[in-house]
Amino acid sequence: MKDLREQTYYELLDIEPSATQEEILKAYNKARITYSSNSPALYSLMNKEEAQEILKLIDEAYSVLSNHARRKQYDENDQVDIPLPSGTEMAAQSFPYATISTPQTPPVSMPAIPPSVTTPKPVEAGVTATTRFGSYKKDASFENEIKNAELFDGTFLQKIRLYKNVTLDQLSDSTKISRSYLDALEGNEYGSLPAPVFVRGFLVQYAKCLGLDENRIAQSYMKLMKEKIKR
Amino acid sequence: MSQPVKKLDLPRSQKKIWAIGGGKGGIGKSFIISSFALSLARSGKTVTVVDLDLGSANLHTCLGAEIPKKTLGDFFHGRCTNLSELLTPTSVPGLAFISGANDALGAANITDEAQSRLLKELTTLPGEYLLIDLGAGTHQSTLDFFLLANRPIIGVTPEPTSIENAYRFIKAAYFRWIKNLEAQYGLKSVVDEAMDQKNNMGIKTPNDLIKHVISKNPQHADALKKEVEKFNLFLIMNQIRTKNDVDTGSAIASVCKKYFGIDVQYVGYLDYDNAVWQSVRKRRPLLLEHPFSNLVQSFAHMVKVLDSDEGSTRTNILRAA
Repeated sequence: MKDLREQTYYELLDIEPSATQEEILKAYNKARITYSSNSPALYSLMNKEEAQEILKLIDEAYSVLSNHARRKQYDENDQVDIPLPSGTEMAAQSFPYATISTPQTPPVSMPAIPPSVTTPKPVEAGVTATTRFGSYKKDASFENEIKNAELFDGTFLQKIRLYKNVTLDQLSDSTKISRSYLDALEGNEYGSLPAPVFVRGFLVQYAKCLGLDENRIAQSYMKLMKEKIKR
Repeated sequence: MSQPVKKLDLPRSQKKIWAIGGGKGGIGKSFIISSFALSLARSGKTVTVVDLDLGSANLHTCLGAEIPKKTLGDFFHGRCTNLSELLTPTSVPGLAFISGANDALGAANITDEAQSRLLKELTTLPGEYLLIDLGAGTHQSTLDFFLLANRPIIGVTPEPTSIENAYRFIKAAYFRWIKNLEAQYGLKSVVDEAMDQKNNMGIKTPNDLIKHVISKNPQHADALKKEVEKFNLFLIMNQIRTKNDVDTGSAIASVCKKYFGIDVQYVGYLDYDNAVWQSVRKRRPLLLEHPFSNLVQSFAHMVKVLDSDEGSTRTNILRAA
């Protein structure tokens, strides 16, 4: 009998060491649902914090096993924990962009710093809009800024989320994307994100939850991520 | 405080013993075990099914039988010493049962002596298979009858109340199992103290408990680890209405493995079907009333899984003692 922390990444995801990438993703999604805060299987057994702890381990397992280089290193180290590489260096090594077809998008200008976004101010008291999570006061100038924006990086997405009064927990519960990935997404921590194909899926879900144009958001973010990692 | 465990001297047996528990009442335990019994008997096996839902026995109704003249009460009151005398045949060849119906009020509270006698006698009953229907709750006798099985089955419905009670039942069964191990190895018991969820030993899960027991008895570490690996359970989800309900079974099995450190095999699920209560009202078993229904197919599948050698090599600790 092993404690959770003694379990291998394969055991954490309930898969065999020979599991394919497809099986790993399937197992990961299943585990995310099992340990989500509203999972019936957790009823009476563990509190939210305990479930979050397990989710962190599951995310950690997935972040290693879903990446060929990390998985190989993990396997060769005879199930010994290895420090998780972070930052763009790891991202560049983990994400074989050359082999991944990304949608062709028109070139966008790439400023060195994210576009300056002024803190939205509710100018029309009483004018509210809703998301699936609740309501927020509309700010015409910020709405306009979103509408005309060409660049959606993590910082800008976070501002939009906060403007719309949506918490990361709500997003995580609704999309089943882990908190750690949402944090990384908004923090532009590309090295902590999984393969691009999954990041794109995260962005689509994220955008849908906030009532944004998912294609525009995903294309812009992916383009920015690709450029940053190349540097 | 639970009763001390007595070392039981039960005969070794090749008999296949299936028992169903789950903690909560009304989740379909009697329906499931009676359907398993019918399914096995109809495939040519010899089966004895015993109603050990003491105090609330109604297995006979699920089997479509009348209340027999002799029931378990006669055994407990000494009017019959041989359990085989209580066997009642059914209309299905190869299937007999022992009823607990019409027992005296208070039948649920059997003495340790009566429980020991019953445990010994159960394994001598005729038939290749012994199926046991259990009552709700985590009474010591219910747990011991459950642990007699080499196919201990947990029945759950996808409701929070059922899931909560199932977890409680699983923990209670495991703790009882460890208590039996302590008795078998002559160890000082820590289980009673650990049963208190607010114990100061930091024991919250079954995994914590066995680690604590092993740390206190390092000389038996290897043997205890081997014994513990034999503890595995089988899970059935009943009254399924959605795909999410089906997935809840897998999730429960996963949680048991990760959080409790207990292997639980998800055997299968049964759809919610009006035909079930209709057949109960008619007092006609579903397997006889709707032999070609999807539910009957599900039972056949689950029987196949449970009857295979896969999943468990468990031998019961009570019988091995």
